[in-house]
Amino acid sequence: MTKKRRVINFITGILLILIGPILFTAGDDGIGVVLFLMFVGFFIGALQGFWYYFTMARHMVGGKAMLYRALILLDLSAFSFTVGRGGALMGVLYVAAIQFLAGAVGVLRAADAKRFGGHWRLMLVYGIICILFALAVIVSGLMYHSSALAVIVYSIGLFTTGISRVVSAFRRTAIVYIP
Amino acid sequence: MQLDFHYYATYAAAILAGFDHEESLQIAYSAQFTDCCTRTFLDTINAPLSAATTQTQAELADVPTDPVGLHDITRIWASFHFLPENLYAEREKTGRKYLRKYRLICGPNGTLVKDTVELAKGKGPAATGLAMHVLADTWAHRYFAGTPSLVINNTNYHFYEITEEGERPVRFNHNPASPDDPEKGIYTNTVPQGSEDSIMNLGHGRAGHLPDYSYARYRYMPAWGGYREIVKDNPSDYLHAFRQMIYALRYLKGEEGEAFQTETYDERAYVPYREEIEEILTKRQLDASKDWKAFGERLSKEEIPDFAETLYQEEYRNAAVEEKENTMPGQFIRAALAQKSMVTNRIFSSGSLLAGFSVDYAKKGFRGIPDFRMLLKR
Repeated sequence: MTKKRRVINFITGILLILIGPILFTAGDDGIGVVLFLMFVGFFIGALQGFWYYFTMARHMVGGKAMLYRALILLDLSAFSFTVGRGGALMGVLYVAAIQFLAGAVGVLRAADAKRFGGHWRLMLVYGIICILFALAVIVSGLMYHSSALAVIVYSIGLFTTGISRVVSAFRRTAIVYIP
Repeated sequence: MQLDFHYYATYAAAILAGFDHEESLQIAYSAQFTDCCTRTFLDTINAPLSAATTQTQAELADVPTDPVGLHDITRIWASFHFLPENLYAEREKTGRKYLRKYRLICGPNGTLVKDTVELAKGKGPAATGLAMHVLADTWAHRYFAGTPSLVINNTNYHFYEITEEGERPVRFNHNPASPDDPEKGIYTNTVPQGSEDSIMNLGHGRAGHLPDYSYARYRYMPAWGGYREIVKDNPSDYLHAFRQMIYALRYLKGEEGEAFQTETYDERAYVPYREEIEEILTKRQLDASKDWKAFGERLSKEEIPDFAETLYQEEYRNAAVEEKENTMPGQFIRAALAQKSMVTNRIFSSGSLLAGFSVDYAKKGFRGIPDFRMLLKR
Protein backbone atom coordinates (compact mmCIF):
# COMPACT_ATOMS: atom_id res chain seq x y z
CA MET A 1 0.00 0.00 0.00
CA THR A 2 1.33 3.44 -0.86
CA LYS A 3 1.92 6.06 1.87
CA LYS A 4 -0.80 8.25 0.36
CA ARG A 5 -3.29 5.38 0.53
CA ARG A 6 -2.31 4.68 4.14
CA VAL A 7 -2.97 8.31 5.12
CA ILE A 8 -6.35 8.29 3.33
CA ASN A 9 -7.29 5.00 5.04
CA PHE A 10 -6.30 6.39 8.44
CA ILE A 11 -8.27 9.63 8.07
CA THR A 12 -11.44 7.96 6.70
CA GLY A 13 -11.12 5.28 9.41
CA ILE A 14 -11.05 7.91 12.18
CA LEU A 15 -14.00 9.75 10.62
CA LEU A 16 -16.07 6.54 10.48
CA ILE A 17 -15.13 5.69 14.07
CA LEU A 18 -16.43 9.11 15.14
CA ILE A 19 -19.62 9.05 13.05
CA GLY A 20 -20.60 5.47 14.09
CA PRO A 21 -21.38 6.13 17.79
CA ILE A 22 -23.14 9.43 17.03
CA LEU A 23 -25.43 7.69 14.55
CA PHE A 24 -25.97 4.81 17.00
CA THR A 25 -27.94 7.07 19.33
CA ALA A 26 -29.94 8.83 16.60
CA GLY A 27 -32.83 6.31 16.46
CA ASP A 28 -35.41 6.69 13.65
CA ASP A 29 -34.06 10.15 12.85
CA GLY A 30 -30.76 8.60 11.79
CA ILE A 31 -32.25 7.13 8.61
CA GLY A 32 -31.84 10.54 6.98
CA VAL A 33 -28.11 10.34 7.64
CA VAL A 34 -28.03 6.76 6.29
CA LEU A 35 -29.75 7.92 3.10
CA PHE A 36 -27.35 10.85 2.81
CA LEU A 37 -24.38 8.51 3.17
CA MET A 38 -25.95 6.27 0.52
CA PHE A 39 -26.23 9.31 -1.75
CA VAL A 40 -22.56 10.09 -1.18
CA GLY A 41 -21.66 6.43 -1.86
CA PHE A 42 -23.69 6.22 -5.08
CA PHE A 43 -22.40 9.58 -6.30
CA ILE A 44 -18.77 8.64 -5.72
CA GLY A 45 -19.55 5.29 -7.37
CA ALA A 46 -20.93 7.11 -10.43
CA LEU A 47 -17.84 9.32 -10.72
CA GLN A 48 -15.61 6.27 -10.37
CA GLY A 49 -17.72 4.54 -13.03
CA PHE A 50 -17.15 7.31 -15.56
CA TRP A 51 -13.42 7.33 -14.77
CA TYR A 52 -13.32 3.53 -15.08
CA TYR A 53 -15.01 3.61 -18.47
CA PHE A 54 -12.65 6.17 -19.95
CA THR A 55 -9.44 4.63 -18.53
CA MET A 56 -10.20 0.90 -18.63
CA ALA A 57 -13.54 -0.38 -19.89
CA ARG A 58 -13.43 1.29 -23.30
CA HIS A 59 -10.69 -1.20 -24.19
CA MET A 60 -12.91 -4.12 -23.22
CA VAL A 61 -15.30 -6.19 -25.31
CA GLY A 62 -18.75 -4.90 -24.32
CA GLY A 63 -17.26 -2.08 -22.26
CA LYS A 64 -20.11 0.36 -23.06
CA ALA A 65 -22.15 -1.40 -20.36
CA MET A 66 -19.87 0.24 -17.78
CA LEU A 67 -20.83 3.68 -19.06
CA TYR A 68 -24.54 2.86 -18.65
CA ARG A 69 -23.83 1.50 -15.15
CA ALA A 70 -22.25 4.79 -14.13
CA LEU A 71 -25.30 6.64 -15.42
CA ILE A 72 -27.61 4.38 -13.36
CA LEU A 73 -25.51 5.02 -10.23
CA LEU A 74 -25.77 8.75 -10.84
CA ASP A 75 -29.51 8.32 -11.07
CA LEU A 76 -29.62 6.33 -7.83
CA SER A 77 -27.56 8.96 -6.04
CA ALA A 78 -30.01 11.65 -7.14
CA PHE A 79 -32.89 9.44 -5.96
CA SER A 80 -31.28 8.83 -2.52
CA PHE A 81 -30.72 12.56 -2.15
CA THR A 82 -34.24 13.62 -3.04
CA VAL A 83 -36.29 10.83 -1.50
CA GLY A 84 -35.94 12.18 2.07
CA ARG A 85 -37.30 10.30 5.07
CA GLY A 86 -40.11 8.87 2.95
CA GLY A 87 -37.53 6.55 1.41
CA ALA A 88 -36.65 4.91 4.72
CA LEU A 89 -37.58 1.49 3.35
CA MET A 90 -34.84 1.79 0.72
CA GLY A 91 -32.28 2.39 3.49
CA VAL A 92 -33.67 -0.49 5.55
CA LEU A 93 -33.43 -2.98 2.68
CA TYR A 94 -29.94 -1.76 1.80
CA VAL A 95 -28.69 -2.33 5.36
CA ALA A 96 -30.42 -5.74 5.58
CA ALA A 97 -28.87 -6.92 2.30
CA ILE A 98 -25.34 -5.99 3.41
CA GLN A 99 -25.86 -7.69 6.77
CA PHE A 100 -27.27 -10.86 5.21
CA LEU A 101 -24.32 -11.15 2.83
CA ALA A 102 -21.82 -10.79 5.69
CA GLY A 103 -23.67 -13.50 7.61
CA ALA A 104 -23.74 -15.92 4.68
CA VAL A 105 -19.98 -15.49 4.20
CA GLY A 106 -19.41 -16.13 7.93
CA VAL A 107 -21.38 -19.38 7.80
CA LEU A 108 -19.53 -20.55 4.67
CA ARG A 109 -16.15 -19.79 6.28
CA ALA A 110 -17.16 -21.69 9.40
CA ALA A 111 -18.10 -24.71 7.26
CA ASP A 112 -14.67 -24.55 5.59
CA ALA A 113 -12.85 -24.26 8.92
CA LYS A 114 -14.83 -27.20 10.36
CA ARG A 115 -13.88 -29.36 7.38
CA PHE A 116 -10.19 -28.86 8.24
CA GLY A 117 -10.71 -29.22 11.99
CA GLY A 118 -10.00 -25.53 12.67
CA HIS A 119 -11.74 -22.95 14.89
CA TRP A 120 -15.20 -22.65 13.38
CA ARG A 121 -17.62 -21.99 16.24
CA LEU A 122 -16.92 -18.25 16.57
CA MET A 123 -17.24 -17.73 12.81
CA LEU A 124 -20.54 -19.62 12.80
CA VAL A 125 -21.90 -17.57 15.70
CA TYR A 126 -20.83 -14.36 13.93
CA GLY A 127 -22.51 -15.50 10.70
CA ILE A 128 -25.74 -16.46 12.43
CA ILE A 129 -25.86 -13.19 14.40
CA CYS A 130 -25.41 -11.20 11.17
CA ILE A 131 -28.23 -13.13 9.47
CA LEU A 132 -30.50 -12.67 12.50
CA PHE A 133 -29.71 -8.94 12.47
CA ALA A 134 -30.62 -8.79 8.77
CA LEU A 135 -33.96 -10.52 9.43
CA ALA A 136 -34.65 -8.29 12.44
CA VAL A 137 -33.94 -5.17 10.36
CA ILE A 138 -36.40 -6.33 7.68
CA VAL A 139 -39.08 -7.29 10.21
CA SER A 140 -38.80 -4.03 12.13
CA GLY A 141 -38.81 -2.04 8.88
CA LEU A 142 -41.70 -3.81 7.14
CA MET A 143 -43.93 -4.76 10.07
CA TYR A 144 -43.31 -2.01 12.60
CA HIS A 145 -42.32 0.74 10.15
CA SER A 146 -39.29 1.50 12.30
CA SER A 147 -35.88 2.21 10.85
CA ALA A 148 -34.15 2.56 14.23
CA LEU A 149 -32.67 -0.96 14.14
CA ALA A 150 -31.36 -0.40 10.60
CA VAL A 151 -29.69 2.79 11.79
CA ILE A 152 -28.09 0.95 14.75
CA VAL A 153 -26.81 -1.90 12.54
CA TYR A 154 -25.53 0.59 9.95
CA SER A 155 -23.73 2.60 12.66
CA ILE A 156 -22.07 -0.57 14.01
CA GLY A 157 -21.00 -1.33 10.44
CA LEU A 158 -19.49 2.15 10.07
CA PHE A 159 -17.63 1.78 13.35
CA THR A 160 -16.13 -1.64 12.52
CA THR A 161 -15.26 -0.49 8.97
CA GLY A 162 -13.48 2.50 10.53
CA ILE A 163 -11.45 0.25 12.81
CA SER A 164 -10.49 -2.09 9.94
CA ARG A 165 -9.42 0.92 7.84
CA VAL A 166 -7.17 2.20 10.62
CA VAL A 167 -5.75 -1.31 11.12
CA SER A 168 -5.15 -1.72 7.38
CA ALA A 169 -3.32 1.64 7.33
CA PHE A 170 -0.70 0.07 9.58
CA ARG A 171 -0.61 -3.42 8.04
CA ARG A 172 2.67 -4.71 6.75
CA THR A 173 2.30 -5.54 3.10
CA ALA A 174 5.80 -5.82 1.71
CA ILE A 175 7.05 -9.17 0.53
CA VAL A 176 10.75 -9.79 1.00
CA TYR A 177 12.66 -10.98 -2.02
CA ILE A 178 15.72 -13.01 -1.19
CA PRO A 179 17.84 -13.59 -4.29
CA MET B 1 -6.43 -28.07 -14.16
CA GLN B 2 -7.66 -30.34 -11.43
CA LEU B 3 -6.68 -33.41 -9.45
CA ASP B 4 -6.58 -35.78 -12.43
CA PHE B 5 -3.75 -33.87 -14.10
CA HIS B 6 -2.00 -32.27 -11.10
CA TYR B 7 -1.81 -35.52 -9.14
CA TYR B 8 -2.05 -38.54 -11.44
CA ALA B 9 -0.59 -37.07 -14.65
CA THR B 10 2.22 -35.41 -12.68
CA TYR B 11 3.00 -38.79 -11.14
CA ALA B 12 3.17 -40.34 -14.63
CA ALA B 13 5.41 -37.51 -15.88
CA ALA B 14 7.75 -38.00 -12.92
CA ILE B 15 8.01 -41.72 -13.60
CA LEU B 16 8.74 -41.03 -17.28
CA ALA B 17 11.39 -38.50 -16.21
CA GLY B 18 13.16 -41.20 -14.23
CA PHE B 19 12.04 -40.61 -10.63
CA ASP B 20 11.21 -43.67 -8.54
CA HIS B 21 7.74 -44.45 -7.21
CA GLU B 22 8.13 -42.80 -3.80
CA GLU B 23 9.71 -39.63 -5.18
CA SER B 24 7.04 -39.43 -7.89
CA LEU B 25 4.29 -39.74 -5.29
CA GLN B 26 5.77 -36.89 -3.25
CA ILE B 27 6.10 -34.69 -6.33
CA ALA B 28 2.53 -35.48 -7.37
CA TYR B 29 1.25 -34.88 -3.83
CA SER B 30 2.93 -31.48 -3.72
CA ALA B 31 1.63 -30.54 -7.17
CA GLN B 32 -1.95 -31.25 -6.11
CA PHE B 33 -1.47 -29.81 -2.61
CA THR B 34 -0.95 -26.41 -4.28
CA ASP B 35 -4.71 -26.46 -4.86
CA CYS B 36 -5.40 -27.24 -1.18
CA CYS B 37 -2.99 -25.10 0.87
CA THR B 38 -5.40 -22.43 2.07
CA ARG B 39 -5.07 -20.10 5.06
CA THR B 40 -7.84 -22.09 6.73
CA PHE B 41 -5.73 -25.25 6.37
CA LEU B 42 -2.49 -23.55 7.46
CA ASP B 43 -4.26 -22.13 10.49
CA THR B 44 -5.26 -25.61 11.63
CA ILE B 45 -1.63 -26.76 11.66
CA ASN B 46 -0.27 -23.47 13.06
CA ALA B 47 1.81 -22.80 9.96
CA PRO B 48 2.71 -19.37 8.46
CA LEU B 49 -0.44 -18.03 6.82
CA SER B 50 1.55 -16.14 4.15
CA ALA B 51 2.40 -19.51 2.58
CA ALA B 52 -1.17 -19.96 1.30
CA THR B 53 -1.14 -21.10 -2.33
CA THR B 54 -4.88 -20.91 -2.89
CA GLN B 55 -8.07 -19.56 -1.33
CA THR B 56 -11.40 -21.23 -0.68
CA GLN B 57 -14.52 -19.60 -2.09
CA ALA B 58 -15.48 -18.51 1.41
CA GLU B 59 -12.04 -16.98 2.01
CA LEU B 60 -12.30 -15.12 -1.27
CA ALA B 61 -15.73 -13.83 -0.36
CA ASP B 62 -14.32 -12.61 2.95
CA VAL B 63 -11.29 -10.75 1.56
CA PRO B 64 -11.96 -7.02 1.33
CA THR B 65 -11.26 -5.81 -2.18
CA ASP B 66 -9.19 -2.92 -0.86
CA PRO B 67 -5.61 -2.61 -2.14
CA VAL B 68 -4.25 -4.87 0.63
CA GLY B 69 -6.83 -7.56 -0.09
CA LEU B 70 -6.24 -7.31 -3.86
CA HIS B 71 -2.47 -7.58 -3.38
CA ASP B 72 -3.00 -10.74 -1.38
CA ILE B 73 -5.32 -12.28 -3.98
CA THR B 74 -2.97 -11.38 -6.83
CA ARG B 75 0.10 -12.75 -5.04
CA ILE B 76 -1.61 -16.09 -4.54
CA TRP B 77 -3.28 -16.53 -7.91
CA ALA B 78 -0.58 -14.98 -10.11
CA SER B 79 2.21 -16.86 -8.33
CA PHE B 80 0.69 -20.33 -8.35
CA HIS B 81 -2.16 -20.60 -10.86
CA PHE B 82 -1.90 -17.84 -13.47
CA LEU B 83 1.78 -17.14 -13.93
CA PRO B 84 2.10 -14.02 -16.14
CA GLU B 85 3.56 -14.68 -19.58
CA ASN B 86 5.14 -11.30 -20.24
CA LEU B 87 5.36 -8.58 -17.59
CA TYR B 88 6.65 -6.12 -20.17
CA ALA B 89 4.02 -6.71 -22.88
CA GLU B 90 2.93 -3.60 -24.77
CA ARG B 91 -0.43 -2.55 -26.08
CA GLU B 92 -1.11 0.67 -27.94
CA LYS B 93 -3.48 3.44 -26.87
CA THR B 94 -4.06 2.22 -23.34
CA GLY B 95 -3.29 3.81 -20.01
CA ARG B 96 -0.85 2.49 -17.42
CA LYS B 97 -3.57 1.12 -15.18
CA TYR B 98 -4.99 -1.02 -17.97
CA LEU B 99 -1.56 -2.11 -19.15
CA ARG B 100 -0.58 -3.37 -15.69
CA LYS B 101 -3.54 -5.72 -15.65
CA TYR B 102 -2.99 -6.75 -19.27
CA ARG B 103 0.59 -7.75 -18.42
CA LEU B 104 -0.65 -10.26 -15.84
CA ILE B 105 -2.30 -12.44 -18.49
CA CYS B 106 -1.10 -16.00 -18.01
CA GLY B 107 0.64 -17.98 -20.73
CA PRO B 108 3.25 -20.70 -21.22
CA ASN B 109 6.94 -20.31 -21.93
CA GLY B 110 7.40 -16.89 -20.35
CA THR B 111 10.52 -15.94 -18.44
CA LEU B 112 8.68 -16.49 -15.15
CA VAL B 113 8.21 -20.19 -15.96
CA LYS B 114 11.95 -20.47 -16.38
CA ASP B 115 12.48 -18.64 -13.06
CA THR B 116 9.93 -20.89 -11.36
CA VAL B 117 11.54 -24.14 -12.45
CA GLU B 118 15.07 -22.92 -11.74
CA LEU B 119 13.97 -21.75 -8.28
CA ALA B 120 12.86 -25.29 -7.45
CA LYS B 121 16.16 -26.89 -8.42
CA GLY B 122 17.87 -28.69 -5.56
CA LYS B 123 14.99 -27.93 -3.15
CA GLY B 124 13.46 -31.40 -2.98
CA PRO B 125 10.19 -33.01 -4.08
CA ALA B 126 7.88 -30.46 -2.45
CA ALA B 127 9.39 -27.57 -4.44
CA THR B 128 9.50 -29.73 -7.57
CA GLY B 129 5.79 -30.60 -7.31
CA LEU B 130 4.85 -26.99 -6.68
CA ALA B 131 6.80 -25.88 -9.76
CA MET B 132 5.05 -28.56 -11.85
CA HIS B 133 1.69 -27.22 -10.73
CA VAL B 134 2.62 -23.70 -11.79
CA LEU B 135 4.06 -24.86 -15.12
CA ALA B 136 1.05 -27.02 -16.00
CA ASP B 137 -1.39 -24.24 -15.15
CA THR B 138 0.32 -21.84 -17.55
CA TRP B 139 -1.10 -24.05 -20.33
CA ALA B 140 -4.55 -24.64 -18.93
CA HIS B 141 -5.13 -21.10 -17.68
CA ARG B 142 -3.57 -19.17 -20.55
CA TYR B 143 -5.42 -16.01 -21.63
CA PHE B 144 -6.70 -15.30 -18.09
CA ALA B 145 -5.06 -13.24 -15.33
CA GLY B 146 -4.58 -14.15 -11.67
CA THR B 147 -6.07 -10.93 -10.42
CA PRO B 148 -9.69 -9.83 -10.25
CA SER B 149 -10.29 -7.90 -13.47
CA LEU B 150 -13.41 -7.38 -15.51
CA VAL B 151 -11.56 -5.79 -18.42
CA ILE B 152 -9.23 -8.80 -18.74
CA ASN B 153 -11.10 -11.89 -17.55
CA ASN B 154 -14.66 -11.26 -18.65
CA THR B 155 -16.34 -13.37 -21.34
CA ASN B 156 -19.65 -12.84 -23.10
CA TYR B 157 -22.31 -14.79 -25.01
CA HIS B 158 -19.91 -15.40 -27.90
CA PHE B 159 -18.66 -18.74 -26.58
CA TYR B 160 -18.78 -21.95 -28.65
CA GLU B 161 -17.63 -25.44 -27.88
CA ILE B 162 -15.99 -27.32 -30.74
CA THR B 163 -16.85 -31.02 -30.74
CA GLU B 164 -16.36 -33.82 -33.25
CA GLU B 165 -19.96 -33.31 -34.37
CA GLY B 166 -19.43 -29.61 -34.98
CA GLU B 167 -19.93 -26.50 -32.91
CA ARG B 168 -22.54 -25.48 -30.39
CA PRO B 169 -22.99 -22.44 -28.15
CA VAL B 170 -21.93 -23.07 -24.55
CA ARG B 171 -24.83 -22.64 -22.15
CA PHE B 172 -23.59 -21.19 -18.87
CA ASN B 173 -25.50 -21.18 -15.61
CA HIS B 174 -24.38 -19.67 -12.30
CA ASN B 175 -25.49 -22.33 -9.84
CA PRO B 176 -22.33 -23.74 -8.21
CA ALA B 177 -24.29 -26.77 -7.02
CA SER B 178 -25.23 -27.86 -10.55
CA PRO B 179 -22.65 -30.17 -12.12
CA ASP B 180 -21.27 -29.44 -15.58
CA ASP B 181 -22.89 -31.48 -18.33
CA PRO B 182 -20.49 -32.10 -21.23
CA GLU B 183 -23.11 -34.05 -23.18
CA LYS B 184 -25.54 -31.15 -23.32
CA GLY B 185 -22.85 -28.47 -23.28
CA ILE B 186 -24.09 -26.89 -20.03
CA TYR B 187 -21.41 -25.46 -17.74
CA THR B 188 -21.30 -23.36 -14.58
CA ASN B 189 -19.48 -20.05 -14.50
CA THR B 190 -19.36 -17.11 -12.12
CA VAL B 191 -22.07 -14.47 -11.98
CA PRO B 192 -21.43 -11.46 -14.25
CA GLN B 193 -20.28 -8.59 -12.08
CA GLY B 194 -19.76 -5.05 -13.33
CA SER B 195 -17.14 -4.31 -10.69
CA GLU B 196 -13.57 -4.41 -11.95
CA ASP B 197 -12.23 -5.91 -8.72
CA SER B 198 -15.01 -8.37 -7.97
CA ILE B 199 -13.75 -11.87 -7.15
CA MET B 200 -16.25 -13.13 -9.75
CA ASN B 201 -13.78 -11.70 -12.27
CA LEU B 202 -10.78 -13.59 -10.93
CA GLY B 203 -8.95 -15.96 -13.28
CA HIS B 204 -11.12 -18.14 -15.52
CA GLY B 205 -14.25 -17.88 -13.35
CA ARG B 206 -16.20 -16.31 -16.20
CA ALA B 207 -15.32 -19.23 -18.48
CA GLY B 208 -16.29 -21.76 -15.83
CA HIS B 209 -14.24 -24.92 -15.57
CA LEU B 210 -13.77 -25.30 -19.33
CA PRO B 211 -10.04 -24.49 -19.09
CA ASP B 212 -9.73 -27.31 -16.53
CA TYR B 213 -11.11 -30.06 -18.79
CA SER B 214 -8.50 -31.65 -21.02
CA TYR B 215 -11.03 -32.65 -23.71
CA ALA B 216 -12.43 -29.14 -24.19
CA ARG B 217 -11.99 -27.19 -27.39
CA TYR B 218 -13.74 -23.87 -27.62
CA ARG B 219 -13.66 -20.46 -29.22
CA TYR B 220 -14.62 -17.26 -27.47
CA MET B 221 -13.98 -13.56 -27.32
CA PRO B 222 -11.86 -12.56 -24.33
CA ALA B 223 -12.53 -9.13 -22.85
CA TRP B 224 -8.96 -8.03 -23.58
CA GLY B 225 -8.85 -9.30 -27.17
CA GLY B 226 -10.17 -6.27 -29.05
CA TYR B 227 -13.05 -8.30 -30.57
CA ARG B 228 -10.66 -10.92 -31.91
CA GLU B 229 -11.65 -14.52 -31.29
CA ILE B 230 -9.45 -17.05 -29.53
CA VAL B 231 -9.55 -20.79 -30.18
CA LYS B 232 -8.48 -22.78 -27.13
CA ASP B 233 -7.39 -26.34 -27.88
CA ASN B 234 -7.05 -28.03 -24.49
CA PRO B 235 -5.96 -31.50 -25.72
CA SER B 236 -3.02 -29.92 -27.53
CA ASP B 237 -2.18 -27.59 -24.62
CA TYR B 238 -2.40 -30.40 -22.07
CA LEU B 239 -0.11 -32.60 -24.16
CA HIS B 240 2.40 -29.75 -24.34
CA ALA B 241 2.10 -29.33 -20.57
CA PHE B 242 2.72 -33.04 -20.01
CA ARG B 243 5.76 -33.10 -22.30
CA GLN B 244 7.16 -29.89 -20.81
CA MET B 245 6.72 -31.35 -17.31
CA ILE B 246 8.78 -34.42 -18.27
CA TYR B 247 11.54 -32.17 -19.60
CA ALA B 248 11.36 -29.91 -16.52
CA LEU B 249 11.45 -32.88 -14.16
CA ARG B 250 14.52 -34.27 -15.94
CA TYR B 251 16.10 -30.82 -15.62
CA LEU B 252 15.34 -30.76 -11.90
CA LYS B 253 16.86 -34.22 -11.63
CA GLY B 254 20.06 -32.73 -13.02
CA GLU B 255 19.94 -34.35 -16.43
CA GLU B 256 19.33 -31.41 -18.75
CA GLY B 257 22.12 -28.91 -18.16
CA GLU B 258 22.43 -25.78 -16.02
CA ALA B 259 19.61 -23.65 -17.41
CA PHE B 260 15.98 -24.53 -17.99
CA GLN B 261 14.99 -23.84 -21.58
CA THR B 262 11.51 -22.62 -22.45
CA GLU B 263 9.77 -24.03 -25.55
CA THR B 264 11.52 -27.32 -24.97
CA TYR B 265 9.51 -30.50 -24.62
CA ASP B 266 10.18 -34.15 -24.04
CA GLU B 267 10.73 -35.86 -27.39
CA ARG B 268 11.49 -39.39 -26.26
CA ALA B 269 9.90 -40.75 -23.10
CA TYR B 270 6.27 -39.99 -23.98
CA VAL B 271 6.46 -41.25 -27.60
CA PRO B 272 5.61 -44.95 -26.90
CA TYR B 273 2.53 -43.79 -24.97
CA ARG B 274 1.43 -40.96 -27.22
CA GLU B 275 -1.79 -42.59 -28.44
CA GLU B 276 -2.77 -43.67 -24.94
CA ILE B 277 -2.15 -40.19 -23.53
CA GLU B 278 -4.07 -38.52 -26.35
CA GLU B 279 -6.96 -40.90 -25.77
CA ILE B 280 -7.16 -39.84 -22.11
CA LEU B 281 -6.85 -36.16 -22.99
CA THR B 282 -9.62 -36.20 -25.60
CA LYS B 283 -12.11 -38.41 -23.74
CA ARG B 284 -15.17 -36.32 -22.84
CA GLN B 285 -15.23 -36.70 -19.08
CA LEU B 286 -15.16 -34.23 -16.19
CA ASP B 287 -12.61 -36.21 -14.19
CA ALA B 288 -9.89 -38.27 -15.91
CA SER B 289 -8.37 -39.50 -12.63
CA LYS B 290 -9.26 -43.14 -13.22
CA ASP B 291 -7.57 -43.22 -16.63
CA TRP B 292 -4.47 -41.30 -15.52
CA LYS B 293 -4.17 -43.50 -12.44
CA ALA B 294 -4.34 -46.69 -14.51
CA PHE B 295 -1.74 -45.24 -16.90
CA GLY B 296 0.59 -44.25 -14.04
CA GLU B 297 0.26 -47.64 -12.38
CA ARG B 298 1.08 -49.40 -15.66
CA LEU B 299 4.21 -47.28 -15.97
CA SER B 300 5.54 -47.87 -12.45
CA LYS B 301 3.86 -51.21 -11.70
CA GLU B 302 3.06 -49.76 -8.29
CA GLU B 303 -0.23 -48.73 -6.74
CA ILE B 304 -0.97 -44.99 -6.59
CA PRO B 305 -2.88 -44.17 -3.40
CA ASP B 306 -5.79 -41.73 -3.57
CA PHE B 307 -4.79 -38.14 -2.85
CA ALA B 308 -5.39 -37.12 0.76
CA GLU B 309 -4.69 -33.47 1.54
CA THR B 310 -4.20 -34.18 5.26
CA LEU B 311 -1.61 -36.92 4.60
CA TYR B 312 1.31 -35.07 6.20
CA GLN B 313 -0.72 -32.88 8.55
CA GLU B 314 0.09 -34.79 11.75
CA GLU B 315 3.76 -35.10 10.82
CA TYR B 316 3.97 -31.29 10.76
CA ARG B 317 1.85 -30.78 13.86
CA ASN B 318 3.88 -33.24 15.92
CA ALA B 319 7.33 -32.14 14.77
CA ALA B 320 9.47 -30.04 17.12
CA VAL B 321 9.71 -26.38 16.06
CA GLU B 322 13.23 -26.75 14.67
CA GLU B 323 12.22 -29.92 12.82
CA LYS B 324 9.08 -28.57 11.14
CA GLU B 325 11.01 -27.33 8.13
CA ASN B 326 12.22 -30.82 7.39
CA THR B 327 8.73 -32.26 7.11
CA MET B 328 6.92 -32.44 3.78
CA PRO B 329 4.53 -29.56 4.63
CA GLY B 330 7.50 -27.58 5.99
CA GLN B 331 9.36 -27.94 2.69
CA PHE B 332 6.22 -27.09 0.76
CA ILE B 333 5.67 -23.96 2.87
CA ARG B 334 9.23 -22.83 2.24
CA ALA B 335 8.89 -23.44 -1.51
CA ALA B 336 5.58 -21.56 -1.57
CA LEU B 337 7.06 -18.54 0.23
CA ALA B 338 10.02 -18.52 -2.15
CA GLN B 339 7.78 -18.69 -5.23
CA LYS B 340 5.47 -15.97 -3.93
CA SER B 341 8.45 -13.80 -3.05
CA MET B 342 10.00 -14.25 -6.50
CA VAL B 343 6.83 -13.56 -8.50
CA THR B 344 5.87 -10.56 -6.35
CA ASN B 345 9.35 -9.16 -6.88
CA ARG B 346 9.15 -9.59 -10.66
CA ILE B 347 5.73 -7.90 -10.82
CA PHE B 348 6.90 -5.06 -8.56
CA SER B 349 10.09 -4.64 -10.59
CA SER B 350 8.02 -4.29 -13.77
CA GLY B 351 6.52 -1.12 -12.28
CA SER B 352 3.22 -2.62 -11.07
CA LEU B 353 1.86 -2.53 -7.53
CA LEU B 354 -0.89 -5.07 -8.26
CA ALA B 355 0.83 -7.71 -6.10
CA GLY B 356 2.07 -5.22 -3.51
CA PHE B 357 5.52 -4.08 -2.56
CA SER B 358 8.66 -6.16 -2.75
CA VAL B 359 11.71 -5.37 -0.67
CA ASP B 360 15.00 -6.63 -2.03
CA TYR B 361 16.75 -8.14 0.99
CA ALA B 362 20.18 -7.85 -0.57
CA LYS B 363 19.78 -4.08 -0.89
CA LYS B 364 17.58 -3.03 2.02
CA GLY B 365 17.66 -5.79 4.62
CA PHE B 366 14.57 -7.38 6.13
CA ARG B 367 11.42 -5.25 6.09
CA GLY B 368 7.91 -6.51 5.67
CA ILE B 369 5.83 -9.58 6.45
CA PRO B 370 7.64 -11.60 9.17
CA ASP B 371 6.63 -15.02 7.71
CA PHE B 372 9.18 -14.50 4.94
CA ARG B 373 12.04 -14.43 7.44
CA MET B 374 12.03 -18.21 7.05
CA LEU B 375 13.62 -17.78 3.61
CA LEU B 376 16.75 -16.35 5.23
CA LYS B 377 17.61 -19.73 6.69
CA ARG B 378 19.66 -21.48 4.06
